[in-house]
Amino acid sequence: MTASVVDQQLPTEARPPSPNVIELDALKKWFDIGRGLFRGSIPLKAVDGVTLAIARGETLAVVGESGSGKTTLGRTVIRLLEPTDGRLLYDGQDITHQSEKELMWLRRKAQMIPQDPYSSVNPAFPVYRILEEPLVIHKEGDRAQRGEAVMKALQSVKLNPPEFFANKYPHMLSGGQRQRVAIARALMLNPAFILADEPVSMLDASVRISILRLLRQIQHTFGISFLYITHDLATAKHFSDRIGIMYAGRLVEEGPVGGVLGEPLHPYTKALMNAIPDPDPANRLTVRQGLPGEPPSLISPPTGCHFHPRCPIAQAGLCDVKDPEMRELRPNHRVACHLAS
Amino acid sequence: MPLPVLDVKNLVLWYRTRKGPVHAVDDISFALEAGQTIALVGESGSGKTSTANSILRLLPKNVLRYEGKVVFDGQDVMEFDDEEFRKVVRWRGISMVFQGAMNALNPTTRVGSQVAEPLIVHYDIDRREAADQAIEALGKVGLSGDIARRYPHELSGGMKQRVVIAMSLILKPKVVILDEPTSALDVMTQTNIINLLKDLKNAEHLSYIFITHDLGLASELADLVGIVYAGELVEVGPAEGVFVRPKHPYTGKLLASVPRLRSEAAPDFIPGVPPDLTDPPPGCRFHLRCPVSFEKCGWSAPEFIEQVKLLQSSVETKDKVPAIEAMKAKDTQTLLIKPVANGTVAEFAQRLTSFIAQDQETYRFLKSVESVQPKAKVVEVKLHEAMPPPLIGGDWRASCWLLEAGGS
Amino acid sequence: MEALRTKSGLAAGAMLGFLIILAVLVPILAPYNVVQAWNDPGAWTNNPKLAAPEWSEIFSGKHLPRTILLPSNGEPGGFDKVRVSFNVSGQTYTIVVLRKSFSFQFDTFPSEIKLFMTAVFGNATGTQIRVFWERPDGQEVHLFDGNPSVRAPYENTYSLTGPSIKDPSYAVYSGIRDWLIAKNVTNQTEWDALFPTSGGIYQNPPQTQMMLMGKLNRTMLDPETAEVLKGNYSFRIEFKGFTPTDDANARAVVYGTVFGLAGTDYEGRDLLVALLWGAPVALAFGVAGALASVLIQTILGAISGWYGGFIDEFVQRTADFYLIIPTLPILILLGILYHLGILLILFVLVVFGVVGATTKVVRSIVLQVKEEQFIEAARSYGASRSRILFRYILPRVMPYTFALIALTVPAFIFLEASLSFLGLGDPSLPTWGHILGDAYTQGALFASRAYPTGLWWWVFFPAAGIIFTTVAFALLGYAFDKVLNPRLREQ
Repeated sequence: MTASVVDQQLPTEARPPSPNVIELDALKKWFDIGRGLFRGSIPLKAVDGVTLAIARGETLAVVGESGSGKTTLGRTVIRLLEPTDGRLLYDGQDITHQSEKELMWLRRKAQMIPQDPYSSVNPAFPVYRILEEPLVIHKEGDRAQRGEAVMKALQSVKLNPPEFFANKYPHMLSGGQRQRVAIARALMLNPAFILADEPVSMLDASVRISILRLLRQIQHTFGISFLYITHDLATAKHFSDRIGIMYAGRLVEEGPVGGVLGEPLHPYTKALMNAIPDPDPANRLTVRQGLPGEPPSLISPPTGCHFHPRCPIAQAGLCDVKDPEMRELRPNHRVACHLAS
Repeated sequence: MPLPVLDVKNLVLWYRTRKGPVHAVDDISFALEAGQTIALVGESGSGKTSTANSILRLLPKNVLRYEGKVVFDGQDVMEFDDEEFRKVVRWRGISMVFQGAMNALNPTTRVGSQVAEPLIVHYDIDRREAADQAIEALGKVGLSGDIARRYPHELSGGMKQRVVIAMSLILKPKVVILDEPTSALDVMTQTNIINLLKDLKNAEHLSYIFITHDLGLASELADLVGIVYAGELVEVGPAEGVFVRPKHPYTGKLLASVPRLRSEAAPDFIPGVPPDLTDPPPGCRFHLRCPVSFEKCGWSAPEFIEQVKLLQSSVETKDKVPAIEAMKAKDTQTLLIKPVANGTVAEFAQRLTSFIAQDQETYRFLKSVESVQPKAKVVEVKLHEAMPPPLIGGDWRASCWLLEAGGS
Repeated sequence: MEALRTKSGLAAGAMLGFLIILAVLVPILAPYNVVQAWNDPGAWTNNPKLAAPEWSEIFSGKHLPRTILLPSNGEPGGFDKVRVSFNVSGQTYTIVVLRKSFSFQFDTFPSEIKLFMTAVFGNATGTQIRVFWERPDGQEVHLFDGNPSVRAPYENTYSLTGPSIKDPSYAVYSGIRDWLIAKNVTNQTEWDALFPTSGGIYQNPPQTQMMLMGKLNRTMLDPETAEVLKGNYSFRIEFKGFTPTDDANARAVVYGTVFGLAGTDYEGRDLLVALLWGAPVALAFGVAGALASVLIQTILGAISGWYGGFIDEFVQRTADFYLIIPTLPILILLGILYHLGILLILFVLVVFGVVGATTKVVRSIVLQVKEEQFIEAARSYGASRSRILFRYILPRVMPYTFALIALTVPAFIFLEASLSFLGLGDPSLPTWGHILGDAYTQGALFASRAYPTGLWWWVFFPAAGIIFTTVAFALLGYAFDKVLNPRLREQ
C-alpha cells in the first residue's frame, strides 16, 4: 500500500515477533447491571472466559446467535472495552489494562469495520475526508501524501474511478459502496488486524459476496488478520480459515473451517449446522431438527455447561455441575464438552 | 386438474412519486392450488412485498395503476368493492404475516386480546367465545393458554412470531401470505418456526405465499418457486426444476450466489445493482447484469455508452477499448462514436469491429451491435431492436429470449 | 442552505435582507447621536405634536396642513426687518418692524401657531411690543401688546392658539374677541356664553386658529363649521425702544396637523427616526441575544450528552431548574428596583438563557448520534473524545442550532419590547417597545374629538416593525424546519 510515512511505533520493549497477532487467555468481560438505587448490581457475563489466538494473515470467524456475546468479544479484542479478567495480548504485548493514552499505537495497528452501512461512515463528511481522518489524527504525511493515500485506498476497495468517489457524500452511495468506504478507512493506517463485525449482514444478499471476497483479497494482498464476527455459518465457511463457535459468552468449539464444519464435535455446532437449509427442493418434505428452548440470559446463565438445558446428550450430574474445559480432540481443533470425543 | 384456490392474472401496481411512476408490480401471474406453497424470491426492492400487498389490496395512497384479475375461490375479487373485499377476502380468505410483525405488536395490550381482535372486528361474537378461540389458535402454534395473558415484551422473539402466526390463522383463511417471517430471528428459532409452518400447512390444509430473499429458506416450504426481478416474475415453476436446473439466467446467478454449508463451491456474486423501478431498462430488465445476454436482450444506446465508459475508467480494462474521443446517442438504438484522431475513420471502424468480435463473450453488451458504419468523421453504431421477452413455457416458464428456440 | 430555496425561506430572506440593509444604512446615512437627540426636547420644537403621517390625508380626502417655518431675520426666507433709530428732542427712539407673509392653501386649520420673539433693549422701561395679524381678506387683528419688563436679553414664546393663563399671550384671546365684536361676528354676551370663564380662566378655551384663519362670519366660532380662508397671511411685529442699540428679531411656526412619513409623538419627535433606528437596535439585540444563548446552550447540551455521567446529571438538573424560573417577572422586578440599560438587559436575558430547552434538545440529538457506528469506529482509529464531539457530532447538531437561533431572535426582541413597553427598559433609547410604551401611557388609541381615530400612527409603526421582524425570523426558522423535518417536506 502507501509507503508508511511515519515509522511504526514499536512497543517499548523490543520483542521477537510472535506468530499470533492476537491472543486471548481466559478473557472475561462482565457488565454491571444496576438493579435500582439501593439494590446493588449484578453482572452480565457477556464474555465468560474465552481463550483463542489469531495468527498473522489469517481470518478467524466467530459465529454465534444474537446474545452469545460475540459482539462484546469483538469490542474487547480491540480494546474499545476493558477486560474484566484474563489477559489480552497483541503481538505478544499485554494490553489488557493499558490506558487510552498508552494504547494510541494500537489504534493504528488494529481497526474495525462496523455493521450498519447507514451509520458506518460519517454522513456529514465527503469520502476523502472520512478516509483522511485517521491520517490526520495520527499526523501522518502532508496534504499531498494524504491525498495519494486516499486515492490508493479507494482503488483497493474497487471504487473506481477514485476521483469520482472521493467527493461524494455517503448518502449518494449505495449500501455496498458505503461499506467499501468503511473498509478503505480501515486500511488507511496500514493495520495488521481488522475487526469485521457483521460487515455484510445488513446488505443485500447479492452484494454480500462481493464485499466478503474483497475482504479476502485484501487479506491476501496486505497480510492482514481478520476477526470476522457473524451469525451466518455459511459465509464463515467460505470466507475464513478458522472458525470459533460461541454460545452464551463462551467458546464451545474452535478449529480450522474444514475440520469444524466437516466434523462438528460439539452438540451445539451440530445443531447449528442442522438448522441451516441449503436450497434443496427436498427440504420441504422433511422436518429439520431444531433445538428446544431459547438461548440463555447472560445475567443468570445455567450452571456448569451453559448449553446443558437444550443439549440432546446432556448428562445430569456432570453437565449441569462442572464447567467443561476446552480439549484438543483433533489436530488444532478444540471442543468444550464433557462428552465429545 | 383441481381449480386453483388463488389465480393471479396480470397483476399490475404502479404508483406515483416525484421522480415518476414506480413500476412496483408489472404484470405478474401465477396460480396456487389448495395446500400448495409458492415462494416469491427476489432481492430487496424487487417487488415481492408489493405483490403481496396488491393481492390483499393494501395499497399506498398514490396509486397510478392497479389492474389485473385475482381469482380467489372462483371469484374475481378485484371486482369487489372495498367493503366487500374487507369482509370476504382480507383476513378471512387470505391473511398475512407482515415483515417485522413481531415487533409491531401493541405493547399495551395483552397478547390474547390481540389474537382475538380479528374475530371481534369481523364477527359479532361474544368476548368469551373470542377468547376461547384465541387460546385455541395459540395452542395450534405451540403456545400454552396462559400466554394469552402476557404482554408482548414478556415474550421472546420466537414466541412473538408464533403469536403473529396465530393472529393470521384466527379466521381460518385458506391462503396465508408470509413476508420474511423469520428475518429477525436466530437460526434455531428460525428452524422451529419453519417446522411449525410445515405442520400447520398440513394440519390446516393451508396454501402459503412465502416471500423471502433466502433461497435456502424458500426451499423449506416451496412447491412452486417464483423469481421476482424488478417488478416482474422472470421465472416460475416447480421447486424440483427451478432449484436444480433453472431456466432464467438470473435464477442461475441467484442460486450460485448462495454460500452453501454442504458444498465447497465458492459463491459467486451478481455484478451491478437492481434497476430503478421508475425507469426500468428497455427490453429484458436483467440484461445489464446478465452473463449470457445477446442481441435480442435490449441494450439501448445510452446503456451501451455507459458500459464503454465503465470499461474505460477501470484500470484493468481501459487498454482493451479502442481510443475514443467522444460518444453520443443519436436515438435509442443508434450511437455515434468519434475516434481519437489517429488514423482514418475506417481504420477505427475496423478496430472497433474486431474488438467487438473478440471480447463480446466477456463484455456481453457488445453482442447487441448490429452494424458498424464509418461515416465522415464518426462511426455510426446501430444496435439491435429491443423487446421485452415474454414468459416462455407452460407451468414452468421464464422470460428469457434464450428459451425461444427451445434452448434453456 | 437549501432552506433558502423554499417559499418561506425566500420570503424570509427578502424580509431579512431588507431589515439588514436598513439596519446598516441608517447609522451610516444619519450619523447623529440618536439617543441624545431623542432626549432633547429642544431638538423637536419645529415639529407639530401628535401629528399624523402626511400621506394619511388620503383617508380624509382633504389637503392637510404641513408645518410652515418662518425663520428669523437673517435666515433665508426669514422675517423682513426694518429698523429705524432716530432722535427727537434729545430722546432716542428705535423702531423695529418685523414682518413676514406666508401663503396658506390647506383645507384645514393648523394645529398651532407659535411666535418666538427676541429683543435687546438698553433700557427696558417703557418699551413696547405690538403684534398684528394680517389676513388675506384685508382684516388686520391687533393681537396683543407686550410689555417687556425683563431687562435683557428679552426672549419669549407666544402661542397664538393655545395660551394658558400663565402665558403672557393669554391676552391674545382678548385681542381676538375685541376684533370679532368690532366686526359684528359676535357680541360680548355670546362670547361669554360660548367661552365661559371662571375666575378669569377659560373653562373651554376658544379655538383661535379657526378665528384667525377662518372665513369671517359666525361659522368661525364653532370648529365644526369653521371654513379655512385660503390666501396670504402675515405677522407684523412692532418694537419701540429708547436706546440706539435696541434690536429685535422674531420667528414663527405655523404647525401643520401632519408631518413626515410616520407622524410625530407627544413631544413632536419624528416617529420615522424611531422606526428606522428601532431596526438596528432590535436586530442587534435579538441576534446577539439569540446567538449567545443558543450557542451556549448547544455546547452545554452537547457536552452533557456526550460525556454523560455526573456532568450530564448536573447540566440537566440545572436546565430543569431554569425552565421553572419565570424570567419576565424577575426582569420586571429588576427593572423596578434598578435602572436597566439596554446592555444590562441583554446580559441578564443571556444569563437566564444559559441552559434551557435547547440544551435538552441538543442533548437528545447528541445521544442519538452517539450511537451511530462511525463514532465507535472513530474511537477505534484513535480519535479523542473531544475531537469526536466537536468535529463529528457538533456539525450534525448545527442545522438544528440555526433553526433554533432563528426562532429565538423574535423571543429576545419581544422581551425587550415588553420591558420597554412597561417602562422598565432603557428610557433613553427609542426602541419600538419604548414608543409603544409612550403611546400606551398617552392613551394613543382612545378616540377623541380632535382625533376621531385615535393616534393610530403612534401605535401602528412600531408595532409593524416588531411584527415584521418577528415574522421574518419565524419564516426563516420555519424554512429551516422544513428542510430538517422530513415530515414537513412537500411530497
